[in-house]
Amino acid sequence: MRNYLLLLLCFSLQLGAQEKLQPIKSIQLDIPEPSDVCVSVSGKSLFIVSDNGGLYETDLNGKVLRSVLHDLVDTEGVYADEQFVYVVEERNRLIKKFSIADFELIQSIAVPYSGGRNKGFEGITKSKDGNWLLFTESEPIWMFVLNNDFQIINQQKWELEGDVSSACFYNKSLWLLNDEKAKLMRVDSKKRSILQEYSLPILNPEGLCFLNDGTLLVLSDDEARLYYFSNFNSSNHARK
Amino acid sequence: MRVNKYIIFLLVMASHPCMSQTTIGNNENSLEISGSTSSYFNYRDLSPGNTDKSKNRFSLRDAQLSLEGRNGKNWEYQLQFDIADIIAGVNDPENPGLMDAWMKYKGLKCFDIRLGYGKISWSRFDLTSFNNSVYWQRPEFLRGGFASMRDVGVELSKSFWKQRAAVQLGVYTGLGEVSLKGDNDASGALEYTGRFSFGWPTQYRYQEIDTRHVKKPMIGIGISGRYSNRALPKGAFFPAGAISSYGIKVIDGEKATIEADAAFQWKGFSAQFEIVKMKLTPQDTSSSLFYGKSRSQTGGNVFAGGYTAQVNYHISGIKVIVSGRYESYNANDIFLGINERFSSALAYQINGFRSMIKAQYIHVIQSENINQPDWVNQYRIGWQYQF
Repeated sequence: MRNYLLLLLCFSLQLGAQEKLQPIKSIQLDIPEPSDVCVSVSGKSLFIVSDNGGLYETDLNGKVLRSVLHDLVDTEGVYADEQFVYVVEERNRLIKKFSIADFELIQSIAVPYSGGRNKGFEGITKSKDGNWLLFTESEPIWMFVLNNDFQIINQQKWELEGDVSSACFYNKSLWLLNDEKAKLMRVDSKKRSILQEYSLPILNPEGLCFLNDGTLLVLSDDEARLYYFSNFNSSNHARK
Repeated sequence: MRVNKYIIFLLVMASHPCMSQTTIGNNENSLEISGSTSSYFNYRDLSPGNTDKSKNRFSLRDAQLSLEGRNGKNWEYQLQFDIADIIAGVNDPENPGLMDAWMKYKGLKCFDIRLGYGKISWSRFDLTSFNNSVYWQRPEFLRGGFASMRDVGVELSKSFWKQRAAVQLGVYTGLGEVSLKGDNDASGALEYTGRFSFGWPTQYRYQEIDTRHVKKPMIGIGISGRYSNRALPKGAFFPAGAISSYGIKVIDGEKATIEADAAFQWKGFSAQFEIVKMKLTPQDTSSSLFYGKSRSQTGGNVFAGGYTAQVNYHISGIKVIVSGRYESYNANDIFLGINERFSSALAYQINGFRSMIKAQYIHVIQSENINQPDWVNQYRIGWQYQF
């Protein structure tokens, strides 16, 4: 009987307590249902996509500078390099490549996936070796590895509790956001395991990125709010 | 040794594979195929004088298939049906054969339009999917006996204020699930519905259990109304099954319903409350709803309704949900007596709501002599599986 109680207590306490992060500030966005965010290479602006189909460029305080509101459906992931911004349409299984200069649609790339309509691609980023990483949300969580020509070269299943709502490479580490459990995870992409995890006091976290100074940005979809967390460079948060 | 066996059992169950939905598409249009099945064992303690134990049995509750499509940006449709109920010829409003058959257009700025057969937007307990509940049955007065859960009609909907608030307005045939048989009743009247809901600090979804253990307290409130005025010509009757065994689902006269609900969740704890009031004004002063009372005694009106309160806790470490529910309802205020029930439920989530063992206990505290149950306790345990 004592063993049963001990077992119950261990599970109830959810062993392995996470570090709790507290935001230094948050900003209400004028963007409906924002679902992912990334920072431009210059570090001077953000790209934000909206669930109901929209790509926005904002300043670092979330003020909308320009947008594309047509030809996009169910956008859930975003990534930017020097010239282009790449937007993931979850339902349509498409990556759309826009020119940063004028937001012109350059290319649409289909990435086949037959999982649940709303369990498709939620996170897009590039690994340190230059391959694209695409994460499905859940049931199951797949990491698709695509080469520079967007050909699938690997597909790996991750066993994580909850889901993946965003992915980002920063400080030589892969970071994943878990919407269902409201936590941030630094992960080992080769072993597919969690190295560190942090509890976020946010409802429905759907997007993450790091500014050049190490400030962590987390986007809440339901709240349409951008949260800022200080500085992942100056602390022991980001281990190289 | 026993503990070891327990751990092995838990690990086996926790690693049980569960397929999710499958989607086919052409990068513009998509069709998702999903479904669910659930079965349970039911046992009843009969009330004194009753001997029919036919409800002590295994039952296949669901064998559902759902086809949910999106065409481009603005068109949606869903066809969902339950083969178990179609084959059995059951027309249980809470668990019907045809569940959804509608299309929706979302291309207008002012509102979305849904046309076809589906759930009526009116009650939080009704709008919460069975698969997201730990219970095998909803509160008695909210499972289609007092008012329909589904109907054929058109609904306009709009959400605003960052989806925190939503409004739905509907016009339906008004015969509920019986509308599928084709014709309206001889009155030719329709039913009008409306609902306003609000969530804080964000939209509050129709889910009873806080499996996410949200970090901020969340509340959701809703208020709904329904109205119909059906005047049958002399000698005409409603189609079979329309009025329900409570006799008030559809009436020959005016029926006005108001509903209010509230929900709360935080850190695994959640609670729901709902109250329904119905004013029934039969056009025939000698209607059986008056139970022989004169107009001067009744004012020409009959009142019905009820309220229910439910509390739940999700223990994430062991994937268990515990819940308790109280309900009180009255099918006719002229007839003496009320009904009270207490239910409790326990669920083990093998893979979230996708694969879940759930058990429910219902105790009848007291009942009035309208559609009176022949049992005092009911035990139900089974498994729901979604694919």
